[in-house]
Amino acid sequence: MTRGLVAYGAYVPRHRLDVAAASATLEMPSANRGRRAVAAFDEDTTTMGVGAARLAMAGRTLPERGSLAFATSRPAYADKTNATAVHAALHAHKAWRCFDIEGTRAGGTALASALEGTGVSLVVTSDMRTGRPGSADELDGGDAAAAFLVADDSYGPLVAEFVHAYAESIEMMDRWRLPGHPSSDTSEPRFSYFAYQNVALDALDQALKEADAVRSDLTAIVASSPHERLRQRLTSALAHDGVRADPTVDGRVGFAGAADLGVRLAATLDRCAPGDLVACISIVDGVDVILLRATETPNGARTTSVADQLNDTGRSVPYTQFLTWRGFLDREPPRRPDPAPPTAPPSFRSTQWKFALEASKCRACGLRHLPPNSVCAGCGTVGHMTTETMASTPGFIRSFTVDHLAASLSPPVIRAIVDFDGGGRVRCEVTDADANALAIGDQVEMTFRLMYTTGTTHNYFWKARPVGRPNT
Amino acid sequence: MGCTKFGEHWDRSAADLLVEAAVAAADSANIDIKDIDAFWLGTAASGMGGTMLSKPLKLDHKPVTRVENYCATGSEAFRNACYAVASGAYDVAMAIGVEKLKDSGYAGLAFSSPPGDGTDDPPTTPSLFSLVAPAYSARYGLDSEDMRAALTHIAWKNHRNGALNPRAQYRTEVSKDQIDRSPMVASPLRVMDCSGVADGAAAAVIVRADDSPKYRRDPLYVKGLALASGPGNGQMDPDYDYTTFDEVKRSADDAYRQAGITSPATQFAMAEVHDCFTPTELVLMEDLGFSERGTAWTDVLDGRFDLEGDLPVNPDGGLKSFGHPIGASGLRMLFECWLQLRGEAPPERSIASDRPFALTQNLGGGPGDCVSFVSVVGVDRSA
Repeated sequence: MTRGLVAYGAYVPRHRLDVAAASATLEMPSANRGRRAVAAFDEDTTTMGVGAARLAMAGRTLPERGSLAFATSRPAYADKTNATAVHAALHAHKAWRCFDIEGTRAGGTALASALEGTGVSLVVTSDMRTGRPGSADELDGGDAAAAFLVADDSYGPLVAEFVHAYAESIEMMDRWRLPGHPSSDTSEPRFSYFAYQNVALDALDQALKEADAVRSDLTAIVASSPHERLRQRLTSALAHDGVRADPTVDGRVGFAGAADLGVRLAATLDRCAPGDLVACISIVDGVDVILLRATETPNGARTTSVADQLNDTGRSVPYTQFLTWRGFLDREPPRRPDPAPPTAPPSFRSTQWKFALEASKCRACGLRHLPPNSVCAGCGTVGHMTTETMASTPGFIRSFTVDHLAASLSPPVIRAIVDFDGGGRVRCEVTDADANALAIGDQVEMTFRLMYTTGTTHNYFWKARPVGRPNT
Repeated sequence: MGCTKFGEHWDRSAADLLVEAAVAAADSANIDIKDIDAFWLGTAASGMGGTMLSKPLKLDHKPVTRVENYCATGSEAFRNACYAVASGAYDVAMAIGVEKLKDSGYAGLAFSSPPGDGTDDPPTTPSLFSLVAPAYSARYGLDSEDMRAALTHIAWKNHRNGALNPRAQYRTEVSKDQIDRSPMVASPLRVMDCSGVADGAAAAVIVRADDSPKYRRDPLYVKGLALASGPGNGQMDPDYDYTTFDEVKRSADDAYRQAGITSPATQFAMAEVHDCFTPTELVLMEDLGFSERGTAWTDVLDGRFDLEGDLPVNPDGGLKSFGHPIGASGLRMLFECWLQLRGEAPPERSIASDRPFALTQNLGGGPGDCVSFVSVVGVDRSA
């Protein structure tokens, strides 16, 4: 029985911040000419995690039992498990062990642990990275998510086999943050380069030795570190041994924290050939090394590649909007009431609707009801409904309006009537869209989003998002 | 009947407005408030419970029922008061409505909802009704300029009417150019497509027709009363196309049947309708049977519903320029019928017509998910 990756998916949000332009706003020089990925005002690590998990799970059903590890350095909630929200959005069976793993290292460790474990494991890594305006964490950071379905081959064909994992841990003040604080402290980079100097290469060599392999057996390296210089040092050293590092995300996403290794791995797997030996190396608080071998179907499971999501030009956000979205600019709101938070009992009753967009469908006449209803709007039959999740059903814009009055972190709000393929209609917001370029008839897909945070409570639900090339 | 000015009454409370409207209506009926048997009080968001009225008026333990039905609240108060006297339970009832929207500090309408799951974030009211305009254009082949012209004419007409009305919130005419250029609120609706947010109150004293000679010789008779609360399918049923309000059609049909109206396009001297937004008034002309489907826009542009037209709509300025204090609006509509049909409207806006009927139509909610009230009133008891 071989264990490995059954499916994977990476999610890169559609918005981009031009790093040089942001630096110029702060009257700072910048050598970085790239763009970083930016989670929109209605995204957080939970919603992006759902995005990646849905891409990984496209066309599949989760088994009745498994574990879901949610890895991030920026959990939406402390205390409450965030993985359960991802689990609910995937409409998964109740008998799943869902847990959060916190920290910038968490993505690598979660994946390694799942590969060394047993049973079906969905590893969801997701992060939003920023820091004080003008900081390296802000300008070199990125927002993204990546998910991996780990199981043995009795579950289904593997896209990559697990070969070996090795880890070392170092107690070190490289970077640290008090919970709730908006930015992290970091030590001087030259100290970190010193502390890490040979750690990664030595760990890779140890992992290869334990796997009866040598550097020249490697095809690809996936290197991830908050320290770009360490990452480049590692990839150049291995380039001498003929090992390639996939450049797809370089300069286009930014360091994506707990999701960084996963996004880079996904980009690498997108272009792997059968038999490629891939070394994943995550250098955070020590080092995690994971060796994988691509199989006959390395790309078969992917729906939307990382390159596809990066080749879309992405919607440029002005730096002031980025700062507003991240809470660094407390803008004057319109004179509208604060939205009411969801309360526990109604949210509990409608968990399937709220998190999984589950409609009711009349067994007598087939009419879909969004939101679900027990009395059929078509034939009047009472209590004869079945359920149907609509999250993956394509739809189109039947009508829409651009609302300049509604309160939002990113006005105006686009409200639309969306009609689904095969029947059913929902009234919802449209996101990731340019109000001037949207048209009746545009194809949309549903996306799980953070509607707003009011007081100390998040409100999650679904929005529609144009498919195909985003409007810029 | 009685009706206060509508507008931004920073210095007047709901209690102040209720007292003014109640006294005016009672005086108009030649009755003492203490001789009124029962009260129906309409307010959507400015107070709760019967004591909201009995305290300021210092009523002597009379029954007071507070009612609400979204923006049709004022009509709901009227409807219930009518049934109360028609049933014989009471001889004299008062329907009174009030709203103090300007106390909230918010722009536009803001309703608080009961605790929920956060999936039904109430949209702004303009964003709900804005969908009607492109839907109508698409169905009937109007280009955006035609639609804009029709909507602008409606706004212009209602402001022109309101300019003649001392009780209205907005009393200046607005040019069509100003309307066309006003800032966008919820596309394609602009500020000038939206009715005003106002404070105000209105009241009616209601008795059985046989008893009216005790009070005055020239009452207004209620010929038909209807309310339709729709199944709310608009946001979930792909068959709904946003060009019509079934609730309006059904409530109109019911009221017409009760009143014996067979040709709504030709039997009314005037109509007061729910012009919360300009495309609403447009579609109402068809749902009420004043225009054939798809032709209301040309009727509008032809001036058919202007003050001098064949069927004046909203001669008092409508929600648009009279203002829309929610609890009072349905009663304000009746107040204009009260004045016009009985020859008490000021000459600058009085309608010369020998048709004995008027109509009020009051909507609550949004397209595809609303309640509609229709009344037919007249001065001829036997008609």
